[in-house]
Amino acid sequence: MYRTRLVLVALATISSMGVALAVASPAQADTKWSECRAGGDILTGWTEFDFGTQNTIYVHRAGFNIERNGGTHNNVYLKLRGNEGESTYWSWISEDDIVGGRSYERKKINTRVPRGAKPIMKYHATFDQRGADPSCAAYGHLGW
Amino acid sequence: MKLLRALLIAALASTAAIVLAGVVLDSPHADPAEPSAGNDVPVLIEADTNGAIVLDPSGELRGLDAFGAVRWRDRELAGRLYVSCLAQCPDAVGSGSVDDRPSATIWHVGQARVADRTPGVVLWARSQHELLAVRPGPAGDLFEMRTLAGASASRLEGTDPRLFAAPDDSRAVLVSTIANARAYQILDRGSDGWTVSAPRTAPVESACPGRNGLPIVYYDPDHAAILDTPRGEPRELSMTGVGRCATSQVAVLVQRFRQDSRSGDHTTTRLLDMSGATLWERVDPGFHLGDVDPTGDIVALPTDTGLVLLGRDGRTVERIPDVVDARFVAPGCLASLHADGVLTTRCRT
Repeated sequence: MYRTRLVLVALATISSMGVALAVASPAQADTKWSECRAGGDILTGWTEFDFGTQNTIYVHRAGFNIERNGGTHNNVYLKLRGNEGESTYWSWISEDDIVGGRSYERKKINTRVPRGAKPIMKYHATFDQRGADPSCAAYGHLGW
Repeated sequence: MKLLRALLIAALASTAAIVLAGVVLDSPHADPAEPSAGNDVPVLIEADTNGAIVLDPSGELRGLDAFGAVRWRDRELAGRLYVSCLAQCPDAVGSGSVDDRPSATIWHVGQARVADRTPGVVLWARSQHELLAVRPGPAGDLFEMRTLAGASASRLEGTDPRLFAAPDDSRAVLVSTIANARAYQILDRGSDGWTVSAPRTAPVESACPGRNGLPIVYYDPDHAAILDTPRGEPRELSMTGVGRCATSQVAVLVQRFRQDSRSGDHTTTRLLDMSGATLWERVDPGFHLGDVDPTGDIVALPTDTGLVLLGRDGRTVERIPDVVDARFVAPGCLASLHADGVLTTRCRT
């Protein structure tokens, strides 16, 4: 009986490891975006852009929201990057005053990036928590 | 007993792996590496009945002739802000840099590649002798209009100019910033060259003049409007957040592109009639540029699972797997780019 129970525990554990790895996999090569979670908090971000000219992506605006955190001293930065992170076309860094649960929007980014640079928006948060503040980053491909 | 010991070791290792995976997934400083290309595919930059310019997944631009043969390859050209075909694809021009640093204007004409270091940005060209460009002048930027009959230059109204030309090059919309407000000017191309209208302040970032120059749709993130005549009063369209438009004689296609870390990437596509009423709307995963037949209302819309042709009611008329991008290059004629980079063109009979 003991042996059977141990085998079942081992199999269940191996099975749950498979689930854990499956959760990790969406942030790998096949996805074009990633989530941002740390210390139980979540940063979500979005970006809208324009394909108006043939070779160019024209980034209009972006926004973000911090969830599961009611702090008033969160920090967020956004970076529009390309060429595998070698080029930064636009960036915005918040003060130490981002309130959890509110939606924020950055309008008039109005930045053009060649499509060949494969632009990415990086969303980064440092969450206001007791003790050490945890941080995370998410990425989204823009137009590719 | 050996089996039991092995299972116990596996269980302990698995538990450790779960703990480690948890740390990676939700650590105090989770900063994943930038996502890689994923299922990257080639895209059409521009196409006509003679060929196309294609951006391939490696970041290189290729000029394809009508038979799909590669006429040129150019990685430097892919870094230019304005890349377009000359009078015939795949002859091409690329000009302007992101950071406004001086950069050569690159021309591909036949087998020749020319890097022209004349200061300024070529916004549009049919050839090296027929172009519209912004050039630095002694007292500010100049707008150069070069035609087969000669060249002229006048003071550029405003800053940050962008040009959106009709597919047949009969008309163009010049967008710029004048006194901190966006404005547009309509440019008409005649036998004697270009005529330029007075600037008109409007909420405009981009525009799409139709074949023969009409109608003209323009938009910014919060507005979209249509002009039935070049100097007519704009009519507001219902969609906001527009990131692309295409016009035909009987319909207007508008699209919105949104990257979202919660729901992923998606494209909203809406077809409007000429009154601005919505004929249909759909949301597809991924970013895909649609096009509308210039004299009709058939829409070609690439998706993650192939190309769909949609009728006036939004229903699928035809589904073509393996096609990753497409443009109407003439009424009833569709140029299709396949996943392997092959270009094919077919015309309705």
